[in-house]
Amino acid sequence: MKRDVLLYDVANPDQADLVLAAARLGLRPILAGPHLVPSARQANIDFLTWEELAPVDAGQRARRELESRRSSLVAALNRPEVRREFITRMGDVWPAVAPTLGAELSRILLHQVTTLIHLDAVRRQTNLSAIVLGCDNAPWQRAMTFAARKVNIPTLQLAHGINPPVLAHHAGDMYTVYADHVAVFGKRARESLIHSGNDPGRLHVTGAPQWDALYRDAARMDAREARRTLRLDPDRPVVLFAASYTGTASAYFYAHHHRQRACHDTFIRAADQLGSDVQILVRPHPHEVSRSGTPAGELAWLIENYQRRLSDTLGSRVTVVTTNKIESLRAADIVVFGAESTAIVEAMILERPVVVLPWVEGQPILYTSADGVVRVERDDDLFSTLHQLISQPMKRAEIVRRQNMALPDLHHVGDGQATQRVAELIARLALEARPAAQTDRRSA
Amino acid sequence: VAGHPASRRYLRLIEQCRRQPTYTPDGPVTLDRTVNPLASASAFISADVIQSILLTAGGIVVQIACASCGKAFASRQGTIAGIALGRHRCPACQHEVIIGPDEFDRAANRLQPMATLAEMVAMTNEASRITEHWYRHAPLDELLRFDEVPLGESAERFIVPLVTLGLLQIAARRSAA
Repeated sequence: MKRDVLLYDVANPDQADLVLAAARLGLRPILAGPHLVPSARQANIDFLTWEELAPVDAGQRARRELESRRSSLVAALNRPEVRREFITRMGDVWPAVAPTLGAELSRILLHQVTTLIHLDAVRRQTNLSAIVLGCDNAPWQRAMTFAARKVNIPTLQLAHGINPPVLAHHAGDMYTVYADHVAVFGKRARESLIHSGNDPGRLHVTGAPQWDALYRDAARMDAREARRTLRLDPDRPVVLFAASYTGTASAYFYAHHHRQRACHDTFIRAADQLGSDVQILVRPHPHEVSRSGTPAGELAWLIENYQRRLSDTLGSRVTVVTTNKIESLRAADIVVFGAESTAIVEAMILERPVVVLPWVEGQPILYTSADGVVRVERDDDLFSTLHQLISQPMKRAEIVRRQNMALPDLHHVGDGQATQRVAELIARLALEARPAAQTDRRSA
Repeated sequence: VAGHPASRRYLRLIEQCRRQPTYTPDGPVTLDRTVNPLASASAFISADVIQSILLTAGGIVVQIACASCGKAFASRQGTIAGIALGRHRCPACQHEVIIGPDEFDRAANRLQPMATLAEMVAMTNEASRITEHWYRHAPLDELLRFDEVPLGESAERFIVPLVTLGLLQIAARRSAA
């Protein structure tokens, strides 16, 4: 009987090859969400979907369960010992939190309980032997790790970044691994997680499956070819600004938005000063629209208006790119980042010199000049840095050489075989698993 | 164009547009709709139309007082490449406003506390302390379990922002006082 592996919140279409590799190793994937289904169908592999295994009344049952607890929960929340926890040196934060806590908690609990009912149904209908999580710290994902552990089903998180050094403790943040195991990009990611107190035995260095594509011949097109693909002049220099956005852990501090804007404007000013010969690409972060809650129908308007806004300053030599990531990186002579981004490593893998602007002062940095990247100390220095690098190909080549030396620390092996390593890890976990029998589930 | 036979039926309209550049077949429009909404230096609405800004992990929500009918409404503010850019439609009169980065920043500078790094660290630590303890008291700890799975503990990441926003409100009140 095939072992079933649930891929939950694995929403990156770049992970399609991982599904196929797992299937080749004799596993039957259970896919949650629509992202990986078309490629699995096209490859004609044996797979199930989380949705088809859902009990039709999961949501209703979850609502009934929570409704039955509502009055007790409200009373318990208002007990003095709970309220006392909200007293801080700044004052009592309860009055500010209370109006939103109830609604937010209801939403979270409903999602958690529905997910757990759903997971239970999946277990009953399949030979579930491992769970792979795209992320493990959203409330329902973390609840799933608890539920799985209870019945001896191993969980594996696919890391999607390298954590910078931690300055503040953020409960539930990514530097704590909640799944039983995590597949990390490289040595530095592993060390960062060990430094944050995670058990080294749970941290598996595999490389990033989504970066395998960067090692294929097709990704090594020359700059002129990449520029033609993007309808740019193949002979004029190109600078790419890989923009970031305020992530989930920092979004509510205006200082981060403020700095983000400053980085953006610093780049546009420098691009303006570089003169009309230099072509400019701006690439918004691919997750920004979905994370910012912008309705999908607004995307075209947003891009068009942003493009025209940039053109007010930079004319026709600026292009906003939202697709063609590899082509954009390969087309660029220099890639500028406004924040510590995982895409910095992507630019390094594709052998493009990286320039990073300063972030909020005092914030720990992840990629240093020892990695070969150029860290601009002051915003005002960006223009001179770019100007110098554009006119000095030898200097750019030297930066790439130094970046290449640092890559093994950031990305394991770099052979384009991370997908296979992660699939083999999943297979090992699934084959070694001894899930509790269904009848034993309640007592497990 | 006006001399073309096909344009004859529109002559009055063309004349009207020549006399009054803000005139359109849909009626006159206000200045905030005729200014090029893409020019970085132009303000489409006055910053004081934005009454409040809520920064959350799931995006920005702005509370706007409609410049046309006065109705206050909440709307999601888009961002692109890390800067604020979004359009908003009044649910009462359908008046549309565009909030660009300059308008957003002017309002945010007025409405949002600009915490230092040390303050951000202290607030995050404090919010995390609260988030990791509030659900641990009986009977709440039992009520927040389902099939032995601790739901309160699992929810930590999503509760931290709520508490941090509460702390920011206290900080804003203190600095205003």
